[in-house]
Amino acid sequence: MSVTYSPVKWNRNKRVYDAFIAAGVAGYLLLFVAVGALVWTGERAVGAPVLLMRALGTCATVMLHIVLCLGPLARLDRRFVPLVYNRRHLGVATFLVALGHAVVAVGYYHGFGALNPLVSLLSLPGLPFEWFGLAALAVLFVMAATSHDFWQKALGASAWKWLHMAVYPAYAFLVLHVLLGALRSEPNLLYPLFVGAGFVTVAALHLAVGFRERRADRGSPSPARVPLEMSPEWIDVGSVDEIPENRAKVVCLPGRERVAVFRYAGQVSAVTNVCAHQRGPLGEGKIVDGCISCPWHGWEYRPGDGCSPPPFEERIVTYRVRVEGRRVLLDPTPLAPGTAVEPARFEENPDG
Amino acid sequence: MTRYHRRVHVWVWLAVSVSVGAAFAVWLLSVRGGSS
Repeated sequence: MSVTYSPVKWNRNKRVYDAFIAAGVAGYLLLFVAVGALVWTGERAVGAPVLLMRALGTCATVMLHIVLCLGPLARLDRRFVPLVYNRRHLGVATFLVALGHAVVAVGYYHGFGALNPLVSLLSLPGLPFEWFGLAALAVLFVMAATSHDFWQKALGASAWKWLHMAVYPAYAFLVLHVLLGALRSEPNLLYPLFVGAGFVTVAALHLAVGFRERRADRGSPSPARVPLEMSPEWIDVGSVDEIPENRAKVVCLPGRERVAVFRYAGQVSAVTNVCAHQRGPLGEGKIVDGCISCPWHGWEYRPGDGCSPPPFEERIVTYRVRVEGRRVLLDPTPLAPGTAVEPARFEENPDG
Repeated sequence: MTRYHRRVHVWVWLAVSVSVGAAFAVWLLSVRGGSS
């Protein structure tokens, strides 16, 4: 979090992350060119520009797959969460590598005629595969250009999230570009198998997370389970003993919105599960120094009022809670973002 | 994500899957056409 904008707020984690990206890209390109020069010989020999074009294109494809896999992997295993922290840098790097591929390809195939290379590219008859690549590149450009927190603030968190879901259409354009282009005349079945395996991997991870969350949502309490003597508007979300200290239990309300119920220092508070920054899952974060810390980028909110600590001004929706015996009851009516709610208190060790 | 984002997520993925499936079908037809 920060109250001012700068191109990149460098810290050690970001430097290490970016160093890995740069080393990974450089290593991949070198390896691809070296192996390609050995494998593609004789009739299948290709020149340096084509080799570089293939190296950059396949590198961007691999990187986009990694970008798409990081989200579901982080939901399935907390050890991947740190990789989500700087995912935008990986996204921008993916765009730059894809741009390199496009520059080499357009320059090589369209740069030696009388027409401007871009005019030549856009004048191709029918629906050429290059257009799919161009569409993917355009989407990646828009996402890279608006990846900074400044744009997130300017566009609003919700609109920004909608915009950045365009990574999925970009992926579809990329697959169309590859299958209908480079691989259309490729007799070796290994390459389309790679593309298919990539799609199956990305799709399987998303499906696994989707089914897991659906199961968790269906297991959430409903108002009908509230004992008769209590108000029917309140939802029994379970015992305080089910919630680890400084952690949350995520419950899905009947309207399908998720709420994170946090337990800390003998108190319980409830806030929306959606971070104001990138819509991260707050309920998978923990309370650090008295504030809820989003697992994705560390944005912080006070559990009692959903406000970020000064000088920050972000606010999230809060919910009323109370504890009856050891049961946590939640009023499902969302309060305005930043509304202070008295935390429900309970005895830490009733038997002790 | 909010419930709206989750819902759209599912539909977008469905569209992506259909597009990728169609691309594979076209690729398969073109390869088969080329080999016969």
